[in-house]
Amino acid sequence: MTVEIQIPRLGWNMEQGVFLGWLKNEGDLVRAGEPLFTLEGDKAAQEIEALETGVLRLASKGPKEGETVLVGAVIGRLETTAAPTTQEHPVTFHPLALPAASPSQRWKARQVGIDSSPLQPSQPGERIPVAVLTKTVSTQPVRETGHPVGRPAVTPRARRAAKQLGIDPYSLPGSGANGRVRERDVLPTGKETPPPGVEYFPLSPVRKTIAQRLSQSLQSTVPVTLTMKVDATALVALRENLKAQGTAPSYNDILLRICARVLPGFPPLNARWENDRLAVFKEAHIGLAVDTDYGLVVPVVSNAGGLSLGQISERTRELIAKARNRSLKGNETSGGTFTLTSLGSFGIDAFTPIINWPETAILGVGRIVLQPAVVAGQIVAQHQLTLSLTFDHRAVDGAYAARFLQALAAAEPE
Amino acid sequence: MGAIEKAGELPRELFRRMLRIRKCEEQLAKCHQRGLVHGACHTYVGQEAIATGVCAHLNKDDVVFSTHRGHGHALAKGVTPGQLFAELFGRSTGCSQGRGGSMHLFSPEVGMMGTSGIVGPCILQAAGAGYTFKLLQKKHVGVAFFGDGAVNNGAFHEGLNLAAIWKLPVLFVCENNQFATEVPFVYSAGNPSVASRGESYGIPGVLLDGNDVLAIHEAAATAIERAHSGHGPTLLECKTYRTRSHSEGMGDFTYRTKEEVEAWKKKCPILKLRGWLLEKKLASEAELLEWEKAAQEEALEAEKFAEASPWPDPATAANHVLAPASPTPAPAPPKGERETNCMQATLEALTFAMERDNSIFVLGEGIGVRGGNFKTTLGLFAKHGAVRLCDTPIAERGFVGLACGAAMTGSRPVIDFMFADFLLDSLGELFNQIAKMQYMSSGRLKMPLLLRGCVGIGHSAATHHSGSYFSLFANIPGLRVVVPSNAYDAKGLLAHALRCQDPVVFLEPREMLNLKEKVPEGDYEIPFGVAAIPRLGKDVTVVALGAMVNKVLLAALELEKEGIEVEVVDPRTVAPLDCNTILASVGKTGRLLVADEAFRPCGFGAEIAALVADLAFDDLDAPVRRLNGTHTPTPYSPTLEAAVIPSINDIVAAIRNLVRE
Repeated sequence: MTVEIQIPRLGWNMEQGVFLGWLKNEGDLVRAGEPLFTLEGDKAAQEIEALETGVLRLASKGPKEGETVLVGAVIGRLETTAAPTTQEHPVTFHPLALPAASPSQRWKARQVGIDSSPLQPSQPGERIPVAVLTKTVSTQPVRETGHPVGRPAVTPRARRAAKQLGIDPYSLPGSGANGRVRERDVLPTGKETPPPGVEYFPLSPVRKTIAQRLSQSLQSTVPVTLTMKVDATALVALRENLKAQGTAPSYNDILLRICARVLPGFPPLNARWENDRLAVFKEAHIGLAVDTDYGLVVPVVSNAGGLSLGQISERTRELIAKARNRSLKGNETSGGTFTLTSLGSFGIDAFTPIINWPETAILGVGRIVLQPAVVAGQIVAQHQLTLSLTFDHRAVDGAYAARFLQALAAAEPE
Repeated sequence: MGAIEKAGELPRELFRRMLRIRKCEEQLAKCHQRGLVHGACHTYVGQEAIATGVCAHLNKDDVVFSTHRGHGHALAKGVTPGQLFAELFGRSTGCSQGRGGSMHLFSPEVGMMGTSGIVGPCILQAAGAGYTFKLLQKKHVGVAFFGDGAVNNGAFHEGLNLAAIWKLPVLFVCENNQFATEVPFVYSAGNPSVASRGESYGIPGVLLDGNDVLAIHEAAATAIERAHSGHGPTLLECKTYRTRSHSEGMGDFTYRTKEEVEAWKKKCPILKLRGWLLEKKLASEAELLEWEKAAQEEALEAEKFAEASPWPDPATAANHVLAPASPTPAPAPPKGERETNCMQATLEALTFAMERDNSIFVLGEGIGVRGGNFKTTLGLFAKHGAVRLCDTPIAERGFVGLACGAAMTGSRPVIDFMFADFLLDSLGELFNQIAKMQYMSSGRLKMPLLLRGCVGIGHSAATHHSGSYFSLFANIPGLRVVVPSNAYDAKGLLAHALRCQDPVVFLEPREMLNLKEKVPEGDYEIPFGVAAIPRLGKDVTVVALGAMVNKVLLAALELEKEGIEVEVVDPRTVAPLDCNTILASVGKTGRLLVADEAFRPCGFGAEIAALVADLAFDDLDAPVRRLNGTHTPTPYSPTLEAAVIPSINDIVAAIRNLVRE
């Protein structure tokens, strides 16, 4: 028996990735769970593990290092029995179906509302005739995802540019007729001459992905932001105390730990949308928004509730460092159930964070600052902090979200 | 084959020459039955006296133009039996090197200027050869052999008339075998006497027994003498009969009787001369038998030679459509300061060329003393006279066919049509003869011929003075098609056309004839197949020709205000087309509009769109668009006229839409 090795989908939006190389050789015995090859998804490279134990057979025209590959493409197989059966079809790799799809095929695919990308031409490098597609239409169910059905048209020139840049042109908004994606929608550099006094700012692929996800969030959620000023005296005291002991967790680390403890009591806020239902999680997997020189990334501290403050601190330091040197792996940026974002270090008090879709809430952290407060009838200097909670009103109502904010404010920092 | 010098030997040699034709034809008929001849095989059996009698006077510089029944003419003019058989067998050693077959036998080396599958053009071409000889003052004759089927065709009328008015040294030899394929001449002709028609054109018409070689030989001598002495052409009607079917393998008795055929076999020209030779004791029976045996053996040898000959290399199938590329001309000079219009610019080019090359002559209506309707020949008549600036009757087919024969024999005709619409009356001569001549002759004939006329809609010229037609011409292999858009280009392109070895159709947009442009005064050339880029841009490529170029440039100025940068490509020649410049421009802009005043279906824009879709698919960032004139004849009224041609506003809108796509 043999098992096909396919390019896995690493993120919810991933259509294609960049193959970075095999970690095993042709003929190697690979055990289930061992890393098999490296694949770069939307943001990060990831080692893909073998799902079965078997002898590795590489596809005859498999992808080269650095080549763009489609999700679902078969790049090899594992022979799980000692004597491989000979009558099985040889493994053939279809490098990239997108260029193989003719305009009529893509048109047809749009007409019938299916995703043409999984269709494979009969020979590598061939275009897929409409007949094949029509046949597929009758057998392939109309795709049911959160995406709009069908795909936008992409001009040949835009497809070529996208391929060179290693990005998916179908995820980009098109500026042409009927939303057709044109070269200008793909190119990172503003090659066009702007009017006098204006300069076009080049958008990196990461920036475009951010833009696209934020738009997706705003289009898919009903966000409401609540702000609350809280007494941060205990928070500051804890940090000063730990600092004196030689360890210095950040305020974000302390707040992340508080969230991880409080969130399981508010299940719809520790959740992810899956089509029209909410998947709620027992454990809190909290994303931390990290500002990098190439844009915003959100690594996830998994199972944060099970970690001590020291462990959280260690983990966030590691994730932040990885984010800044672009070495985050795919599973380190996915699967979050809640996100923490902070602008406190810039002197911001309150703001309106955007939910990291498909999560249901995000907590914005402001600065901690000494402010006059009335305590027991006396005006005293008190460390205060403003929290900004954006929640998806579709998931919970305002009072529920306010209670969550109160619970955060009331929680002991340690 | 050469003229027969020794008078006493003459009848004996005529006999042997007729015999050669007969034996070859009989052998070819057998070969046809055995499948060795791949196409048609029209034999000359029964008519041998005519070719033999006339060609006995001809030297290799005298030229023969023949019909679909031309084996006898080829052999009589000096094509060897081996070359004839090999051609019919489709071999590379054939006289047309396998490109012709029975109906397209070419051997210009011996003055055999081709047989033709079309009835009539040989008459015009022989007149054209006569024109060359008159122009270059050479003492040669052009001979047209044609059947009775040709004399009710316009080519006969136009050719005889033109040869008569210009007193051309030509023999028109009608082989009246009484059937055009299977249609009897008595049925087809209002006047069943061919010879008497000479009178209609003011030339001698002589009726002859087509089976009497001595009579034909004598009459031909008189006709050639008349031609040489500058008195013009003679029409010989030779009454004869073909005793085999029209084409080998065809049924023969639906339109004539066996009795009639048998009766004519008894009048066989070879039997007739045989009897005469014996009677006059000019040859013995033994001698005659020996000649017959020798002729038979020669035919068998020819067959063997042909069968053993190699097939042409399929890789050469597209060779000789055009002449080998001439050396690239020196780069055209900068535009300088002097301004002039298109008419003056092309007149300068023609003036330089006619001074340099005395084989150039101009044909056209009103191009002599008058200097051309569009002043295309102004002042040239005074310099070069009536032979080189030749006013024509309104007989487009006639003078185009004549120009074909003239080009084939060493002159360089320029035909000035005024309006290209008039050229359509001569399309058969252009497409079937002029364009194909280099190919049919395997590159041994050159066709340096220029056909010029105005194109394009405007001035309420209505539908017979406004067509564009360049796609039509560019569809035909063997033609160069030029459409200049300004005076500078027009002068250089016309100069190049007047050095080109291929037929050139030079189409001048009438609406730009008066537009002034900076044009150098000297002689310069612009090569064909090199597009101009009159405007650089990065947003969209617009390909345009002729008068549309200026409109597109004005549209581009308008669009510049909106920040749209239009690149304009002017191919200047439709054939050859500068594909690389178009592809490079689309590679840059990703967008293509073809703005074309001519019709859309199967047109210039379709060709370029297909080219770009094929070779630059991945460069495209938008669909390819065409903007064309309306697919309708041109109307007269200004409001209707304006509605059928793309306006500057139409171009602006089309580009704007394309950029938004």
